[in-house]
Amino acid sequence: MTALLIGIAFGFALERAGLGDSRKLAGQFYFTDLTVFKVMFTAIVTAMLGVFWLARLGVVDLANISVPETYLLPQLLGGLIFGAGFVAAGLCPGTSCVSAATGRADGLAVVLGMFTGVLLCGAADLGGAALYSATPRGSETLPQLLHVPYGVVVFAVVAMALTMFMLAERIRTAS
Amino acid sequence: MRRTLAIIAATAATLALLVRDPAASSSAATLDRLAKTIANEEDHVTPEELEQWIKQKKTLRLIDVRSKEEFAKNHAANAESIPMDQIASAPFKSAETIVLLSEGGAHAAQAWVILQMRGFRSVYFLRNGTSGRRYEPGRDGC
Amino acid sequence: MTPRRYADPYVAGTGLGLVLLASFVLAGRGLGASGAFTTVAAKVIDAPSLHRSEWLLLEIGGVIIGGFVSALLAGRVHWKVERPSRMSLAFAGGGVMGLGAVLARGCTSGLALTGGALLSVGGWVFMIAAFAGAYMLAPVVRRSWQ
Repeated sequence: MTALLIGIAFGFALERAGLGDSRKLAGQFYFTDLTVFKVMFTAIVTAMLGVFWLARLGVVDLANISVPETYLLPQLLGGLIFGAGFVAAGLCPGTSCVSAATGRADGLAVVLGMFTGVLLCGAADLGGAALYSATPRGSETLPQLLHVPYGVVVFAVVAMALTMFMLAERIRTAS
Repeated sequence: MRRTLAIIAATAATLALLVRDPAASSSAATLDRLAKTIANEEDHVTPEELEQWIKQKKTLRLIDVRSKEEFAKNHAANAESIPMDQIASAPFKSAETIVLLSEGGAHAAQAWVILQMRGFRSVYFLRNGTSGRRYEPGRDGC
Repeated sequence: MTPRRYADPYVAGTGLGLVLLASFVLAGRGLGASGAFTTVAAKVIDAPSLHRSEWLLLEIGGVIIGGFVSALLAGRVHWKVERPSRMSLAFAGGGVMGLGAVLARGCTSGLALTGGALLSVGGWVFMIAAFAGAYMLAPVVRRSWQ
């Protein structure tokens, strides 16, 4: 099935980048290893340009690609919370699986911790909280929000990313 | 390798800035635009306005969306017959200004939405149709 | 075998981006990870906030396989246990991420990567907030990383 194959490629790419190593990931937040930022934003830029151009050339129909739904407040708060957990664990849900698969016990600990956290959320019926359903915006995109053409936002994101990559190369790091 | 990737990205991004956006025929943005156009009353013309446009010799296409039979009975001068069931595939040029006609205006308004969704922007319908009647509950027709 | 060096981050990132793009084109959707965790949890506790997706379950299975194969080929597979303080912070961090991911309906894979590439407002909000949250807590857990 496609899901399995895509997952295999995903896991392979993550491991190749070294993102199965919690120390490497954590280094992002102490400015000793900026791999997380470089990999993530390169991936975003690549896929973003790919989607724009494939759609523009008529190879894909944008209507056939699901855009994640926006819930402003929960995602802002959830993001902050997630980030805090991320720097403590040194791994995110995806990379924790990669880490565990390569034999790292702390990766396994993150997997188990995540599973526990998620179970507790279900048990506490987080979905019933008012905050959980606050500020829904549907599949809103930045071009829609800012009333700016899609291509302009694409350009701005790439410009920002390339600028930040150049700055990142100036910072002396282990990698 | 890095330099190559950066150049590809920069080129692709710059071109993205310059070209037309990918068509997103049923995106929320399109529907939003349509709703606002309707709310701003920029979707229709009144009989007086249409008269002005014809006097000013604006290049128009008057499209009557009623059935062939009704069209045969009588129709406006210079009107073309494109019945409703053909409006989705009838050829138009994006540069043309199209004014849609029907008897009560409802079919013309519906045809307006269809042509907008097909991508034509310079489309209008004759408000209240050729009969010029305002909607009255209990009355027939549309 | 001496472990091979990791790939250049920009090259690896491009590869990852192409995988993401392939997912968009072939499956009409992006990647994910936290959703797989909630799917498993939903089999235990049937709560509405626990997002279900069989697709993600298969995908995360692939992630495990792919990660293993890559490490195997590079000589990077070995059992490694950290000291207790690191292990407990890893578990706790995982728990906290679970909360964040359920609240946000996604994680770095589903929201930041996928949402980022599709220019989703929520995706970008989550990503910026996540980086902010991490940088804010970093000084507090610095010791544990040394």
